[in-house]
Amino acid sequence: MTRKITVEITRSGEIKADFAGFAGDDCVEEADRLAAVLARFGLSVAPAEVRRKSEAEIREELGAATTSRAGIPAAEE
Amino acid sequence: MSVMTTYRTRIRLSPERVVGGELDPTWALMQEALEATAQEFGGRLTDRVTDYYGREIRCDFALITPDFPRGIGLRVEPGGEVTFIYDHYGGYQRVASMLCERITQNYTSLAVARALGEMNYSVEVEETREGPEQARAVVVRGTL
Repeated sequence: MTRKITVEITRSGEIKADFAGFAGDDCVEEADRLAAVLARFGLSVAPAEVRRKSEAEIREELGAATTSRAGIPAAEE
Repeated sequence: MSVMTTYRTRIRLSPERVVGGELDPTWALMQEALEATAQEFGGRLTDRVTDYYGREIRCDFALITPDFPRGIGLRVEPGGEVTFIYDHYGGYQRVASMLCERITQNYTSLAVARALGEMNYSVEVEETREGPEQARAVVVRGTL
């Protein structure tokens, strides 16, 4: 499955990162890796809030990925 | 598992401008962020700002724009922390704050884009507006 990291940088410089398509704790490891690389680019980051996505959100992601690959709308539940 | 994480950020450059005979990458990134901000606001980069009385203050970086000709200065402290230096007296507080925020946002956006690229993600950058004030936000997308 495609892995996506979407980072929104607000006016104040705060960042909101959305990790999608990661299995298990892979996203936590990838978040740590991103923080380490950002530090080398002169940006220290400290998590202010971490929210696990709901089952519905994950299903929606998977549905979107299926739609993208198959080219047909995902079935609604 | 997938997560959404909000991070507080702080810019910390290398304490040394030149490392191994070359401009340190964090200083180069700040130069790039300032150039982007200067281009956006029709400004130019220099190495000093002025106060209300016209006195010059030398800085590591400085940005002068038509809306704030005294300029926004940046000083890199011995530990790498970045301090903004400006004199907003006389009605310049809003524009000065906005320029500081934009410099910070541009630096952060560039750092995130470079970091994701180094992690072998395919990177796209988009500018959006958010909230009732339609504040500028930058979205960096990495796909692997």
